[in-house]
Amino acid sequence: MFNAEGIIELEKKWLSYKTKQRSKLSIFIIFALVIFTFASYQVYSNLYIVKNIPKEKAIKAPVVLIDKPLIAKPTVKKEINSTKNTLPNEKKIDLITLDKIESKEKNNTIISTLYIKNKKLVNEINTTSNKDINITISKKLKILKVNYKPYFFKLEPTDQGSELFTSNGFLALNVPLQIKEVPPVKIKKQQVIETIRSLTETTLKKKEPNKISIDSKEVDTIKYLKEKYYATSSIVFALMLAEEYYYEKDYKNSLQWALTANDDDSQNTKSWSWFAKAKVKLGQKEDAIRALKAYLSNNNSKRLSTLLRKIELGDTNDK
Amino acid sequence: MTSNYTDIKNIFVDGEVFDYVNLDKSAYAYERLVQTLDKPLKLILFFGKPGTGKTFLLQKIYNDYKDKKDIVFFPRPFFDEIEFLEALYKAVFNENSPKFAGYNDFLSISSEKLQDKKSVTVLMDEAQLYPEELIEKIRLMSDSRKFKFLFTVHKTEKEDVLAKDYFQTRIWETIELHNSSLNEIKTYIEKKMIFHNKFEYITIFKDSHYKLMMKTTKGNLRTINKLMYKLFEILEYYDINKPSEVRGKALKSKFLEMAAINLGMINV
Repeated sequence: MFNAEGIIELEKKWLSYKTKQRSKLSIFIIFALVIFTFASYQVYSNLYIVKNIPKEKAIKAPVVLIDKPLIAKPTVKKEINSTKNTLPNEKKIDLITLDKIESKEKNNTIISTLYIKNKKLVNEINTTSNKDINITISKKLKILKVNYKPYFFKLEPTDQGSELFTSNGFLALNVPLQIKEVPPVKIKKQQVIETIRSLTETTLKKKEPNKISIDSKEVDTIKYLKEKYYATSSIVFALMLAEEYYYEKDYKNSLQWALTANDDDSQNTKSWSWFAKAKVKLGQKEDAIRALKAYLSNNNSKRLSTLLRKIELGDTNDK
Repeated sequence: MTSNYTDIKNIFVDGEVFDYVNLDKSAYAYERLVQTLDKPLKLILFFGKPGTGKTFLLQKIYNDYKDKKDIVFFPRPFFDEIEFLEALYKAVFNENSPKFAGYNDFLSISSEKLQDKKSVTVLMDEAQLYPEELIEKIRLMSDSRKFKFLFTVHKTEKEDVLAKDYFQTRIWETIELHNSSLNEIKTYIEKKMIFHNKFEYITIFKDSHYKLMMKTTKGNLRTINKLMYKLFEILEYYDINKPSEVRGKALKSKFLEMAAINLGMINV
């Protein structure tokens, strides 16, 4: 049988064993907590990153420095003035990228695509001042991967219902935008230039003269504009797409993109304009008139008033 | 002063008390051994890790069949041939052995005495300790069909080689006994208690205790006996000197851990 000393000794050993065991357990718990905290932080960070994937800041308007109509030639040189980075709706330009690509053209001009981020445009222009810059839209554009933003419209573009035009003249959009792969369309250089120019004319003003020569090439404009739109969610590209489709005589798509643009900014007269024009081409003249009237009942727009008048007179001339 | 735990601890004195506990694994091994002994085999190898209950099983077989068969049990090994032959003669014929010159002498005398009798079964524990020469003689004796030998061998790293290399070519049947599982440990302790009418102490053990026993003893019955003995020895002390510590129905894990520490099963 054990004696008192033996038991005391054994109890001491047992206490030492328990202390070690508890310290091991404590270390394990601390370690587990650290791991858990770290893992939680990682998960949270990942979720935060996923939630806040830096969307390309919405480009409020593309800026293309052209102050005169371009002539549809393989290589076009035009003087272009620097711009004032403001739009009629006073939204600033966020991003324009400049990508210079060498041309095989006879005059060895440089093909460039402009992407300028905010003030970079001015800097770029300053650095290239007094130089001729050949601008073209390149097929090889670096498009940032972004999550497609689903767009919904409250009404089908073809919907004839009263919901289409709200009393305050807003288009209520609730139709999911069907993103279709559009086969590469070869467009005329004239159209590309016109597209760019028409926007530029209204959005840009002269800041200081810069001679920029533009070299245009045949590109898949629609694809490019779509990519740009999905990358930036900018109304400018939606409007350009509406216009592109319109000139491609794809009025249904033109209508959709006009609605998309309107969804982004219901006060943008261009979205109303393209909507109305596409409606007319789709044989829904009444819709176009109702839409324009709805808008003009609450807003003033010389452009839309003129357009309304033309539509009412049956003038389908696009110019 | 005496304690209730004094009697219980004595239940677990290894080798001193023969109270065979029929566990699943041992029941299976028992059946196989009995069947094998009935077969016309010359040599049988029964092996397992130390403390798995081989000796107890052999002892049980011997006790069960000593009145029904010609069976001899040698729980301890022999290192001398003549000594072995004389002990065998005495066990088989129940008379003092004459002086044998060698195993041939023994074989001729015993064959004559046995005549048409069925073969004698010899259960040999700790067979790995027998000298190699004697094992060879035993093998030759088995060829006479007058004797059937059951070797019980420890299966350890070293002795496993013996079992494989030495016996393998001659052994006609091998039976292995494995360590006990958690449930078997539980059964073993419970049956031991019941066997000795200590029913009230069965309930002091909880599942956590059995798990600790399994962890510290690896299911080795001999080690379990040691652990139980030590546990009840500790409880005996507290029961006499600090009875308040052992009050209550459930056993404090502390005492089991102290027993394991004392036996070196838990390193401090």
